[in-house]
Amino acid sequence: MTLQLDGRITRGEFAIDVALSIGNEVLGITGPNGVGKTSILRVVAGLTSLSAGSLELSGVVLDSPTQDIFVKPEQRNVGMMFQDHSLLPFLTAEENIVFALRARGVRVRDARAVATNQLEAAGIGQYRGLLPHQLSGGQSQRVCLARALVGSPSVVLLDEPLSALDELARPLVRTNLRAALQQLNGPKIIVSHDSADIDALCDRVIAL
Amino acid sequence: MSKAKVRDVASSTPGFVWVGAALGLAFLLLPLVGLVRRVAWRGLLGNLVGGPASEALRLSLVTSVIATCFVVLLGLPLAWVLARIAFKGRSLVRALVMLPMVLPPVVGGVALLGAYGKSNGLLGSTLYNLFGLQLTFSPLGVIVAEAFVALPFFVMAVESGLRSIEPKFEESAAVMGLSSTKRFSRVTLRLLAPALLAGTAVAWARALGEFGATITFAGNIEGRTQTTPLAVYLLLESDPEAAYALSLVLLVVCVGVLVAMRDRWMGRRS
Repeated sequence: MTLQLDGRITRGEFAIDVALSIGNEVLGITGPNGVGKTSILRVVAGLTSLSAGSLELSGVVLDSPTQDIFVKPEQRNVGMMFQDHSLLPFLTAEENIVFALRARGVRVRDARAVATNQLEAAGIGQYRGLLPHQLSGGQSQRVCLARALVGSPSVVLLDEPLSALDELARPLVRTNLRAALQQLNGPKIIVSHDSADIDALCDRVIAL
Repeated sequence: MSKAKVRDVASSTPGFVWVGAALGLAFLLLPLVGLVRRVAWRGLLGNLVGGPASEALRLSLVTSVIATCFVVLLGLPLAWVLARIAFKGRSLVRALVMLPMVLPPVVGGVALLGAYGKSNGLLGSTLYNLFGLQLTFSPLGVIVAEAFVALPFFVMAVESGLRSIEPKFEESAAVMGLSSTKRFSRVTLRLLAPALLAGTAVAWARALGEFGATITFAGNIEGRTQTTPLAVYLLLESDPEAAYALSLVLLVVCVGVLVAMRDRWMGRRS
């Protein structure tokens, strides 16, 4: 599976031109704040549309203003982790992962089993019954990460996936994430400020 | 930790503020004390059960609940459009929606006559000629009058509720694969629940207390269009004890609504 992005992203006054081709690999994107890293992820996910150019996944056009094509985010099968944790506040950690799986059509019982496993694997099984506001920043981030990776997404987008973790927890989560990403087929993009994370997780890096 | 008294410039209050605040509070509380004092507690139940009072209470309950359902059905989409869709003339539409909140209710009643009056209303004559439906002087008219004045309160609460929902929750639900309809029912409505509840309660209280538009548009027919506020006004002449008893019921209901909504409307944060 290859993701081809060649187009212009306009965000208010700013516009950036991006040309990317990502195969079955983990691409790291670095760069200073406000340069448009998150905007790239949002365009791939379908939360923002391109103002020019096109976005294709394995030859299928997802977004092309000139051809008047725009595939809605819910039809793109993307696993995305937002920078500011977006766990649904009225659901527990586990229910949040179940919710993501159910949204992809997984049956309740299977979804529960997968969610429990994922939380155990992430080392936060004991927090599964807690609501997002009861979790620490690092715990909540690990739930978000687990949620973005479940349900075999075709494309994985992670925005600062390890930023809230303390130095003690970080190496283990990083190793686990590296393994999880290798098991998933398809293009994966990680946006990060942390060069150690980028080095450990990514096959290729571009700096904006 | 012991509570130490912190002194700063902002918390040093000039004397006249205390006096003004105390007078303001007394001004609001005195009539309530007066009302409660006049209630004949012994005969309270007797004054409420049987006769025009219980008829009025029953009618008020039924019409205000139906009017509130109507308000929710129309108000939710209206609030959505005002909160989420940028279009030319949005502030004008918002002002029009909010108008019944500041409009004298009697004027609202006159306007309703102009729209739904049987003989020369904009829509009223058609409704009557085609379906034999008459809103004036009917319980249906009471519902329309109550909904008309209550709708803006609901829209205001729900619009601000919708605005305070961060987009990231619905965005992440979209990325997970939920269609816009499912996002609405499983994410937006859940996040909106406190505002929906507050809006519904306030709209219901407003509908329950409606007087001016109701008497103008639906009239004052005992058992048909005579709601509790109208009955209170009439009974004050003929049977003051019953009037005070009914007033107490309305007061208790309104206090109940405020207590239920205290987190949202009275600044208490959980």
